[in-house]
Amino acid sequence: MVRVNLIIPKSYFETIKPKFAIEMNGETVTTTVIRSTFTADGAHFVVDVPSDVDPEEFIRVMSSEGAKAFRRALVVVDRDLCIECGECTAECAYEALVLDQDFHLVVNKDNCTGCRACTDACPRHCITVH
Amino acid sequence: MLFSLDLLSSLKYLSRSISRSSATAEKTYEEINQKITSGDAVVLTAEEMIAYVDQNGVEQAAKDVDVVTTGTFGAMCSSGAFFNFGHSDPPIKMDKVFLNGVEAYHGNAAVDAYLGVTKMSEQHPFEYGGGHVIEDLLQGKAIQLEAEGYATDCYPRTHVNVSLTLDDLNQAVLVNPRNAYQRYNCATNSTSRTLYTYMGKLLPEFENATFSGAGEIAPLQKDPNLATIGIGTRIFLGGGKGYVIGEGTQHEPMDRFATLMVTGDLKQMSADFLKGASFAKYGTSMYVGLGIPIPILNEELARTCAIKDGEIITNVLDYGVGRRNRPKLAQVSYADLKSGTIAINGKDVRVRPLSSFSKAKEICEELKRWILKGDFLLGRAVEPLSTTRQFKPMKSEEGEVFVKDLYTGAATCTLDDTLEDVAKLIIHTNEDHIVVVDEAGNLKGIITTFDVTKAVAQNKKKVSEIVTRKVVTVTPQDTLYELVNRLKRANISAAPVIDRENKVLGIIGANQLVKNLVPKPNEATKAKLEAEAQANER
Repeated sequence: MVRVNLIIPKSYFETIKPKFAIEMNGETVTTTVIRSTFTADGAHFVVDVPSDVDPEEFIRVMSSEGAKAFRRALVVVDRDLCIECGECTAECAYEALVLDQDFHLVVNKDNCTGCRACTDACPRHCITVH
Repeated sequence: MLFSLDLLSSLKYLSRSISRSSATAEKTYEEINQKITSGDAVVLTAEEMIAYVDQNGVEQAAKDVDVVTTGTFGAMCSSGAFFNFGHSDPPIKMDKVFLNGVEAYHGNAAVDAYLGVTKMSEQHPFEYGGGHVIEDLLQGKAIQLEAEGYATDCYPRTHVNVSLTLDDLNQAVLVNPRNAYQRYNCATNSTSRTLYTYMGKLLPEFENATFSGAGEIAPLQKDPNLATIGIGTRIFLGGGKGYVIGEGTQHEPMDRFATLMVTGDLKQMSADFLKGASFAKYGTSMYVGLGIPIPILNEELARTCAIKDGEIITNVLDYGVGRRNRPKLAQVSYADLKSGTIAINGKDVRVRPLSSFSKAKEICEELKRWILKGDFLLGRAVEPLSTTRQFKPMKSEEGEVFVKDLYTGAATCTLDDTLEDVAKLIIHTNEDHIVVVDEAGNLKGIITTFDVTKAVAQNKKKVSEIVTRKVVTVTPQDTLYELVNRLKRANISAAPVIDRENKVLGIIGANQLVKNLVPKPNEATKAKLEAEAQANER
């Protein structure tokens, strides 16, 4: 399972089925929507692509359909400023930011949905989400 | 800089070296300091001590181990530093003092000032505060001192604006009135909105919980009877040497909430262990690294130094209730807290620390290294700290007023009513807010006179078309401060009063508050007024 960001224009968005099923090479791929943000121009979806689908192919197909599709690490922690207090891990519902057994901060970039719950919570202002 | 330590191999080394230690379990400071000086002291971090006692027992550990190092690294709001800037020419008697835009308290001699870490920059509030100024100074950065004074014969100057580094200051002394809380409460939030607190961002409906304190490696947990920690105890403070100068404010040792007042020379501290902090929509603070070496003088100290997270209990409090006594929702141990999940009202809640354990462990290691190098001797306290002090609430001269004292019955309608019905209801009851309920009286929404006016303009007919479903509510137990803050935040003038089951009990807002505004004279004023009235009669 791979997490993919999709920024989709309104015109395309209106044809998308509720479960975010996408026609890809003649087959229907049903993704799991992790997060959706709607704007006047369209929407930003974060979806999990099932493991039997090649994520790069998925991104290629989505891009050819006019969506901006990318698999990108969204959350970045400035390690020079970070004190590993753990406050961000209290806010992150997707385990993108977790403490390991020794209480060191681990950033699982692939889990980040870009929700930004962590950014204003950081007492050291050291988290950015792209 | 820190050597990572393989616990098992060091324990093996210890068991070998221990055979030559003395048979008696009682030690003195002098003996321990002599061993430190000669390089023979056995020093363990709090974590290592727990493992050592597990393996060898308390009695043996008391004989073998000389010192246990402890540490904590948390946001400690009651911290700050005294500065002396030296005299300008011509000299100034400072009246208002700002350091990088953060106001320092000046109520002492001409060029002394105290900078508190929660004081925020006037230009960048909630982002930059006293703690950040201290961190900048420690990083060698120049900070801007701006001061104003009123001219006197001896201090003619009225204004000074100069860039200063830590080296330019005569004294820079950290003086923290309350540090190193023995334990702290775990915070969570029962309400439907996100709370921004000094315990971090608390998500609605118990979605998360936060806690602070280093648990089994925290200084005051390892000497809970304050047998060795007292006035004069030499400590690790902010990466330098510091001293305990008294019990901390709000010290409450009998309830296991002991605190310390500490001091140390800022000039020998490090930006690695003093870090500015800013909590969103709450304010600024400073993370303080503090460690205390506990001399293992006897078996009792060996026992307390081996206390584990599972034995350290604290309360989970609902920060959704803006009162002094927040409801206790659960009792948990630090082992539960460090596990990442606690149960609150049958729900599994994600719980995370706010204080850094990785930094706290680093402090234990660093302090151990100092002692092993012979750089740091243990200081015997010159006076013990109180073991019986109580933490009293503020004396109150006014009875607190609650929503339950002021709310009145609400005018209600249902979703099926027409706007004509509602318009009639408004005229009949003279209310600005109509609360929408279902048949059982549960809250469904709210309609204001403005909503009805707008609906007429838009030719809408039914309550269900215009109802506001997301309603700001209060409960009878809320204080008026809570009510006013919620009304102000939402920019509204009234809120339905509901019970725990969402049943509407009434309404409270500007109308009800106005009635409470008429000041009630206190006893002294009353007596004065009566005396004046009597005088007039004569």
